[in-house]
Amino acid sequence: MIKEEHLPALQGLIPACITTCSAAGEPNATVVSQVWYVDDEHVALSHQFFNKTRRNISENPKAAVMIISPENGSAYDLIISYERTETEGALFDEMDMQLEAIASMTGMSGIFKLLGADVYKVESIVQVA
Amino acid sequence: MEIPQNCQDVLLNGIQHIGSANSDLLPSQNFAHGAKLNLAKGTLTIFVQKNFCKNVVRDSETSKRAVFYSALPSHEAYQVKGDVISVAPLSEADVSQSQKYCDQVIQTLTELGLSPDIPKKIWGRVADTGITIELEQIFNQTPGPEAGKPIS
Repeated sequence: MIKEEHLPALQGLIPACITTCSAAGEPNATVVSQVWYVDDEHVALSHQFFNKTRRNISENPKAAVMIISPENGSAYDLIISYERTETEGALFDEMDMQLEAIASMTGMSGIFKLLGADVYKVESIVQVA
Repeated sequence: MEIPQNCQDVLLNGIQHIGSANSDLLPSQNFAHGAKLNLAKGTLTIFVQKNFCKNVVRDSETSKRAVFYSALPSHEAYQVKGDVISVAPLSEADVSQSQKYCDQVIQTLTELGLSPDIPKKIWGRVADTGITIELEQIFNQTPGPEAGKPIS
């Protein structure tokens, strides 16, 4: 599912946008700092805040994520489905380190804090630009 | 609805997304190409290119609920939620306003270090459709203690 051409867009250089939907049909959109390559069928999103996105995912596991390659501007629309959250281990530690770097570069140290690595199955990837 | 000036500035000048969901609760989203506030009517018209945003346009015509998210590079961000009032072709004036917005985004992202070809892939498009939603709720989305709180 995830191919080599998609990997630059998963480096975290350009923030991604995620849209979720509650069980009642109410969409919600926000930015996510990290969309992390886990394997060819999974990505992990940084869980930093207890917010509407988390509530929606608990009701409806589907989400749409837009990622952009900083190399050529290609944009990809991912449909993903929540599977689990990891709060320790190699995946969590690697994402935590990168998030600290992102926070430092963007002046958000002390605000961006990784609470968990939310692992999603990638159901589809469509290039939109 | 009264909207603080700083919030209006972010809504109209930030990097904009529009989100929706279909009747199966499958969300869709894409970048918007500008927006127009009508405070007297309590509406926000979001400029999109129909072919680029076909899922969002389809959802807006059917499920009648949409969200608009806009953020500045400083991280200040707001989200508008509301019912869809109309989906209609843009006037020439609106197309012109959209093109000014897109030129501004390309310039901003280029000044941040991106090659101009990168933002042009998304914002080098001409909007043709306006999705007008009711200004029902606006939420602060700036990371920090106020995130998620309604401003209205």
